[in-house]
Amino acid sequence: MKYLFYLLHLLIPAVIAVEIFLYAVSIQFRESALQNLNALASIQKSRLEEMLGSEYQRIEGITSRTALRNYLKHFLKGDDSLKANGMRRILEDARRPLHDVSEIFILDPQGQIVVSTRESAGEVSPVSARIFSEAKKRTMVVPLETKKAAEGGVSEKSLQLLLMGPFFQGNELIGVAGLVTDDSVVTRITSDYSGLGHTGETLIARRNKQGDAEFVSHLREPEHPAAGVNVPMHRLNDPMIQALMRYEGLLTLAKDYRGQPVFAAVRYLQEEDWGVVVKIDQKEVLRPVRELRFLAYICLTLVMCLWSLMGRMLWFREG
Amino acid sequence: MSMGSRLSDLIDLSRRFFVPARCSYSRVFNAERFSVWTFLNNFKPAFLFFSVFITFTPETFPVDSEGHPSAWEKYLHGELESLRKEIAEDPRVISWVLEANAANMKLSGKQIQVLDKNWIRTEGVDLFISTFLTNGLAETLKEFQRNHRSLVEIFMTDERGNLIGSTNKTSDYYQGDEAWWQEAKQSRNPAGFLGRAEYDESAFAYSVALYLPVFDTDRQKVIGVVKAVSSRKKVQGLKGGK
Repeated sequence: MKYLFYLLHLLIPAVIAVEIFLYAVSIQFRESALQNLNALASIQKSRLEEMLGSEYQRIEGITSRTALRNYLKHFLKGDDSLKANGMRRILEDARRPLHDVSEIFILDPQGQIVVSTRESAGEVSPVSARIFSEAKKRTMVVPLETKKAAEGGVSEKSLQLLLMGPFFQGNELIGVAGLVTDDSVVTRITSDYSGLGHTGETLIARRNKQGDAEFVSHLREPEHPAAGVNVPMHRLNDPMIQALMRYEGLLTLAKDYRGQPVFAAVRYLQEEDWGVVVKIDQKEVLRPVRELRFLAYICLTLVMCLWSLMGRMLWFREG
Repeated sequence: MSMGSRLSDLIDLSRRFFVPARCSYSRVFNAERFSVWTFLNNFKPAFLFFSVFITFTPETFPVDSEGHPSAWEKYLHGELESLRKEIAEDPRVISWVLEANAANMKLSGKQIQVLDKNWIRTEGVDLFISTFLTNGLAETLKEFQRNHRSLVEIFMTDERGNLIGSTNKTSDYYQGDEAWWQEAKQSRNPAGFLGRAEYDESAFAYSVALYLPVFDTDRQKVIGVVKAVSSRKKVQGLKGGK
């Protein structure tokens, strides 16, 4: 009994020492992961800003065409089908070299379709009144969610980007141009998982009408039940909600859309009111610490066994 | 010319070049004693003066590597003017600030300190902080920001320096202890003023703060202070960016 008490005496400080050591190691792992996430978030944000910049230029490449503006101005004065054909020709010419563009259209200042590269007006991508009124003031990029038929007849969600910009003749607004592209640029940015391990990902979301976060990027775990669901605005511990609250920084106490504890770096894109989150599961970051703990306790047990064996031998020899 | 004389010429030349200077301006253009070293050495006081001048002269506004200082400054004064007209003189904003002043009057110095400490300690945005980012004043500031896209942050404090509305989470809740806040309140300058250009290393861009006191409807009393931060990068990114 006395001997067991003696062993326990040794065990408690050893366990405390191991735990302190592991705590220090976990802080190191956490800090290095956060540093990494912060750098990645800054890089992803600038890549997105660059992408938005080039998308703005693309739409301005349409709205700055003098011939198109002249045609549009004359078209608005009187319904002239020749002018519409001229505009369609220009739009077709503009669309041809742009392989990711599926459609270019022009709306009049009232939001009515004037001309589109699509055959019938019914096929033109829908533009909500809110987007249209914003597009009359500035160039913008809006993620469009469409459903496309996948193999087996099941329709799957597909993302497209709608680029919109106003047509001005002098200071007078004469229309709004729209350009629908696939989301390959956004996908290229978000599907780059370098430095993000097995669970890390970059998420982009916009605020919907209800103020909730709606993802505009593909998720790494699309089959997860929470993947297609918007994140409600009141869930303040979700990193995406923090980003849409315009917080820019690091989060260590956050839970992502799956409810998993994550380390996250969040950024906000003021131009489009998008939130950007680069996150990784805490479980993955701290896995080496768990493994180290397992190893440390195995070693401790072995040492204690050896120690007790030696101690017992000595004890009984003396006894 | 013999080899010996060439060598002596070379020695003479090197001696001329590396001869230590005697600090006399009259010797600078003396061909007999001229050398690069003496020439430079004689301007030492001038170099010294300019280096001291450059070191201690305050950073001129605005700092810009492209050499268009006045355009940016003009742009910022325009933003300051808009901020005054659309925010500081907006009757709705004034009534919100007065309401906040009345409510915050009950807060003791200690309570403000506790709120400030909690604010700084909080990771991200919690319920308390979110009230300052989503109230009517914050929404008005965000609306203003949407139309003035170079402004990356706008926030407003009450007459004591407590935050009452902001577009982003600020670093702390209590701003009354900051020099700029005291200057803005005490200056009583309705036109406001610009801060110094500062380089933000994380954004790789210069930014300038715009400060403006908010007056009550009689324009007698300063009831709050508004601060906005304009990013040079965003100004350049704007269409036709000045």
